[in-house]
This record gives sequence, C-alpha cells and structure tokens, in this order.
Amino acid sequence: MSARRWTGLLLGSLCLPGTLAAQASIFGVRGPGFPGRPYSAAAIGAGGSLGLFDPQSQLSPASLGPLETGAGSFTLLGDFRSVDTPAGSARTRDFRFPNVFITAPIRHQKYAFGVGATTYADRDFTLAVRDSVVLRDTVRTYTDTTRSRGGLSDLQLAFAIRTIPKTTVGLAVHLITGTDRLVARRAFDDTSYAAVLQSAELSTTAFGLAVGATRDISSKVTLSALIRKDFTARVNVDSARYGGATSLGADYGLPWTFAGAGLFRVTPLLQVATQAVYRTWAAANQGLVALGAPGASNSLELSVGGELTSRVRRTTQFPLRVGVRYGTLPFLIGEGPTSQPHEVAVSVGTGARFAKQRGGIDLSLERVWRSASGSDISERAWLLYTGFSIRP
Amino acid sequence: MTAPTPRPARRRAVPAFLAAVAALSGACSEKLLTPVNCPELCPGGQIVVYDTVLTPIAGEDSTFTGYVAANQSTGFLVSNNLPAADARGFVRFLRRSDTVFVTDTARTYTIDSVKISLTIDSRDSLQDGIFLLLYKLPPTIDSTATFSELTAAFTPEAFLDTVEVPDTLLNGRVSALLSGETLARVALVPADSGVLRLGVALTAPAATGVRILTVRAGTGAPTFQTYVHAAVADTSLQQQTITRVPSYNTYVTAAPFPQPTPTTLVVGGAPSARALMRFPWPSVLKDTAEIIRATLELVPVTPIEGLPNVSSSIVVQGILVDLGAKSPLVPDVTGTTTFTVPTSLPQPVEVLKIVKLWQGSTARPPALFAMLTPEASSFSVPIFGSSGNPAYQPRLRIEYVRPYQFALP
Repeated sequence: MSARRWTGLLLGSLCLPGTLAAQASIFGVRGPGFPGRPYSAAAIGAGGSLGLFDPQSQLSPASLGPLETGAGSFTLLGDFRSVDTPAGSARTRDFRFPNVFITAPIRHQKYAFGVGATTYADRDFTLAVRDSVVLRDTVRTYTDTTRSRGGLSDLQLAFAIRTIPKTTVGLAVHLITGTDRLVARRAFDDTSYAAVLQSAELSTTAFGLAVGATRDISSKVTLSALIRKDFTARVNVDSARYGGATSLGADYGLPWTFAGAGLFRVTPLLQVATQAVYRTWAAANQGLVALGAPGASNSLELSVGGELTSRVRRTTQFPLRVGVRYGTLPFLIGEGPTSQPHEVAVSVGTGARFAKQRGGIDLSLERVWRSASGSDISERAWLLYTGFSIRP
Repeated sequence: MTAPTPRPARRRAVPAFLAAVAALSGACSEKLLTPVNCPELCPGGQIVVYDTVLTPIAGEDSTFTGYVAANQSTGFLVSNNLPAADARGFVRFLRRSDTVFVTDTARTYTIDSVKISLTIDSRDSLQDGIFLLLYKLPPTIDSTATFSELTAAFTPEAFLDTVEVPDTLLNGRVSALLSGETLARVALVPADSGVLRLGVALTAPAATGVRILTVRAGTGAPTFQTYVHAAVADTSLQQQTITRVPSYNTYVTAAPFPQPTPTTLVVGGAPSARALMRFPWPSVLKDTAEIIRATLELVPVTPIEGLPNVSSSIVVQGILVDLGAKSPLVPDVTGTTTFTVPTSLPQPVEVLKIVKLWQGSTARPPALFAMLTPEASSFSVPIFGSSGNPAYQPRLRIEYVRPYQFALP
C-alpha cells in the first residue's frame, strides 16, 4: 500500500465522530473532570513510563529532542468500563481522540517545535438516580438524569532547544480551555407531571507554562525532568434556558506539575523506564469546595515499563511494550468524610512502521482498576489506544 | 524511544492493524449511563419541586353568557320531566317543492311514503323503553316559541309517529316511516308552504332524555325524505326521492338554565355561559420557574345534575389578549376534564400547556376561560364558586422547579 493511500486512510479516520477528550470516569464527576494523560499510544503501552522521552507525547516539551523529521500523530481511544456504585452497576463505553500532535525539527535540527492538543480533564458522564418525592400527598417516583459532555482541552505550543550536547531543553505554553454542556432531567413515572429539563454551558479558560529538560547521562541512561505551572482557571456558566441571561463567574486554582523519569537501555533490544509525576491539585481544593465540590488533593503517578524489540535493526517493527502504573486521583468523592480515589493499571502494546517509515500505527491495551478507600464506588476499564503517525 | 531504522514493513502485518482499527472505528457509539447515589456522586444541587396554589384575583372572575344559542348547537335536547332540564325539540326543514326534476323537466308527483330520521348522539344507557314522539307543528310555531307554546302544539291531531330508541342503541340513527293510512298525518297543507315543522318529545318509564344531532354537527343531521312517483312516461325514472335537511332547529326547556351570581361561576346552558378567571402571576413563575404541573380545580357549590350515565366535559382555554367576554381564545391548547352526574366533587382540569404560555417575554394574560362541551346542548349546567365565595373559589395548583444549580464545576 502506497504512502498516499495510507495518508488517505488516516485523514479519513479523522472524520470519525468524537471529541478531543480522554477517558471519562465516575471519579471525574465531582470536579473539573477526570484528568487526561497526554501520552501517545506507544507511551501508554509502557505504562506511561516513556512519557517524558516520547516525542509523540505532550507531557514535556523536552521530549521533542529525538525528533529527526516532522511528524503528525493522533490517538484514538476506546474506553470500556464497568462501574459499581451503591445504586447499581453499569457497563459503559465511549470513544475519543485524546492526543493530537504535530511536530517538526527546524534550523538543522538544532531546534524543534510542536503544536498539539490533548485532554486536560474529561467530563463526559451520564448519571441516573431513582428516588421519590411527596407531591399532593402522594409519593411520586422519578428518575433524575444528569448528563455532561465536554471538558477541558490543553492546547500546547512547545519549543525544544538542542544546542547543548546531550541535552534538550524545552519550553511550552499551554492554553487550557473547554466547554462543558450540562443537562439535568427529571422524569416522573406519573405522566401528569412534565419532565424537568434544564441545561447550561460551562466554559473554562486558563494558561500554563512548562519547562523541561532531558540529558543523556551515558549511552545507556537518559534522565528527564519537568516543571509546569497552570494558573487559575476562570469559569463561566451561561444558562441556555434563559438565552444566556444568567452568567455566573467563578475560579479555582490549577496545580504545579513536577515530573522526573529515567530511561535505561539495558541491552540493545531492551530498554526500561520509570517515571513519577506529582501534581499539586490541593491548590484547587479551596476553590472547588467553595463551588460545592468535595475538594481536591495532590496527585501522584508512578509508572514503570519497558520496550523489547526482536531485532536491533528493526526496532520499530512490533516491539513488545509492557508497563504498570499506580496513581492517586486528584478529585475527592463523598459528602462529609471524603476520600481520595486511586488507580492501578497494567498495559501492553506494540506497533509498526510502514510505507518506508512514513506511516505508523501503535496499539496499546490498558487494564485499569479504580477505587476509593472507604467508598463502595469502583470501576474497571479496558482502554484500547490506537495511535497513528505520519512522517512526510 | 527507540530510534527508527530504515527497513520496509512486513506487509502481512498491515491488514491485522487495519482490521483492529476498523473494528474499533465501527463501534463508535457512546454508552455512558451509570446509576449513582446522591449526593455522593451527584454534581450540583438537587432538583427541588415547589408547590403553590393561586386563587383568582378578587372580583376579576366572571361568568359571561350568550356565546352559543340553542339553535346554534351541534345537538338539541329532548327529555321527559328530567330534573336537570325538561326539554322539547323543534326542527324546521327546508321547503319541499311540489314538483321534482326528472330529465331536466319539472314533473308533478304523487307521494308514496315519507321517512323522518334523527340521530341519537347520547342517551342514558341504563334507561330502557325510550320512545321519541314526533309531531307536525303548525306554521305559527317558529323560533320564538316558548316551552309552553311548543308543548301546547303537541296535540293528538298533530301526532305523526312514535320512534323507538332501541335499548341497545347508544348512538345512531332512528327513523319513522309514514305510508298508507299514516301518510296523511304528514301531508303538507297550503299554509305550510311546503315546510315541515317537526316537534320532538320523549316518553319513557322514568325521567330521562336524549341528545339529537343537528345539521351543525356535520353528520347525522335530521332528514325529511319523501319517496314519490313522478309523472313521467319512463317507468325507470318514476321513483324519485326528495330529501330535505333542517333550515332551523332548536330546543326549549321548561325552566331557564341557572344564571350566575356574584358568588358563582356558571358554565353551560343555552345560550351558553363561560367563566373567565384571572389569576395573579408572580414573577418567579413568569420569568424563572419551570412549571411541571398546573391543575385548575373548580369547586361546585351545588351537586352537578344532568343526564345520568352521559358524560360532559369542562374545557379550559387560555386567551390571546384580555378583552373580557370577547377575549380571543388560544387555539389548539386546551385542558379538559370529563364528569358524570350527579357529582359534588371538585373538577380538576390539567392546564399545564396553557399556563406555560403565561411565561416569558411574550406571555399571554394569566387568565383561563372555562366552558362546557357539548356547548349549549348539555343537560348539565355546573355552578362553581367564584372568588366571592372563598370556600368554593377556583384554585390553580402549580408545581414548579427553580433553575437547577449546575456544579461549577
């Protein structure tokens, strides 16, 4: 198949329905949304441990260092979840494009830049509650449905400097923006009562700056670090019901991000990596509590993974990537006593290049367990990432 | 990441990837519904339902009469000493010519027989043995005839025929066929000018009544059919039928229908009465609330009488502008409740669709018009309390919710 046909296939795939968002979760309901992970499908396969070194991931601008040619990539995510709450269980599924990134080296590869978009927080959910209320001296049962579609996207302009030997320094400017379309509906079993249907749109804007660096310590060891600050998020609610006449403003803090990682080339066929990402989401706690949410706590993500190839000269053809990840989730749940959810994930992936290395596909499958101590809420998910890339 | 090496791909691997991508792409349909418990997993506030009861503005509720007269209704009433209304019917048919056109020529004719047909619209389904009594009335009986004048004309000499209303007939057509010796009873004399004036009375073992359709009902109008033998040589053209429908029909009652007082609201009767009620309309309901149910409750001050086992309906409509008795009604948006007699229960009418028209910047006046159907041809005339009678005044019960407090986030 020619490169032109592959290009057509990839462009056609872009027409699929979906929005720029990552996986939703029941643990993203009581906050700005479920935090996105700005990784490519290949990095996910290694548990995210390669995120600070992967030029197709958007965690750090310094990861643009290995870039030799321009590339465009995007990731398709299929999310299949089983959710257990005290009110019942459900199986859900949704499909998203959580990562789009265009990168290119400039000035004889002394510099590189990247423009991309990824999910900052995903707030896709539909919640159903069965309850009753006494009206006209009669118990009336009803079903409340709260639906949210949208979240926050992280638009990034990244720039990497590779003039220092064995070192890449990256800078990135982030625009965090998005709209959340909310619908609340109550349908009574007694059809004498009309259904309540109210909607609103919530828009959020924030800015962020990131500085990252990657240095080859030796031929076998590379280290990377990142510091990022996201500034206050400003929130506006426009009520669609009254033609936007009602507008409420609010804000909450966004976190610092501190990340560090090491890449170890154990053999020419095997490399392993470990990564830690710490976000000070507690900065958002006061603002979120003031807005009625249970609050937020700092989050930590730890991941370990590796990539094993079969031949030294064909490292891009069907490598085996495996990884494991543990993380705490920033947004608390519960009324009164709150608890911080956490998640554990294992992943496996592979990929291939074709059309004279101009096209590439990566597949990763991640199994995730999420729960919160002291709560009866948990979920399990299969996350299937498919990454596409084009190098002109 | 591993540096790429310039080697061609294994082509057989590509279809596998394509299949995986296609499978994933083809399944792109969301399913996110999850059962949860509140408030632990519910963002934002709760939907709270508020309940309020509005009563008409004092003195701003009235009864207006004269909308539909008895002769304008879709039916006329006939009864025998029914307490709700003792009624007699009167039908005046279109003039019957003394010639009939056959092959474009007016021909004289001789009458073979006459058939008078009426359509029963409603009757007491539990009352057996109902018969309609038909009378040929003199030309002196016209639209101004009173009950006593009409009944005085129901003499044995004017008697035409008895029409049985079968006990199994809930509604449908009944007829009287006059021929032979009885044909002379329906013969039109020169003073009749070719017009048959028909009086209708009723007899039954107990007091009861029927409602008979008129020409305004669209179908089922009374008919006066004359089967004639035309003076024409062609025997196949000799038998002709002359059919006449009413030019006028009405009914009269022994006692006038109840009239409103300052403490009552009346709907129904003939000429029909309608009740207009104006309500105070708080700004929270006009501008902010989402109304989920609105019920108008009309409280009878006396038990509602009428024809047993026959239902009537109270229809409520909004108004486009408030012009009092002549306020134009909002078309196609109605609230209806159906009742059977006797009853003393408050009559609830669901008026949510009407009340929603009272909201927003182009709101309609917060007023309701109540009327009875079938209008001007029902034995029932409900009398409800007005704002002048607080214990029986109308109540507009509204349930609504305020704007939902969506989570931020």
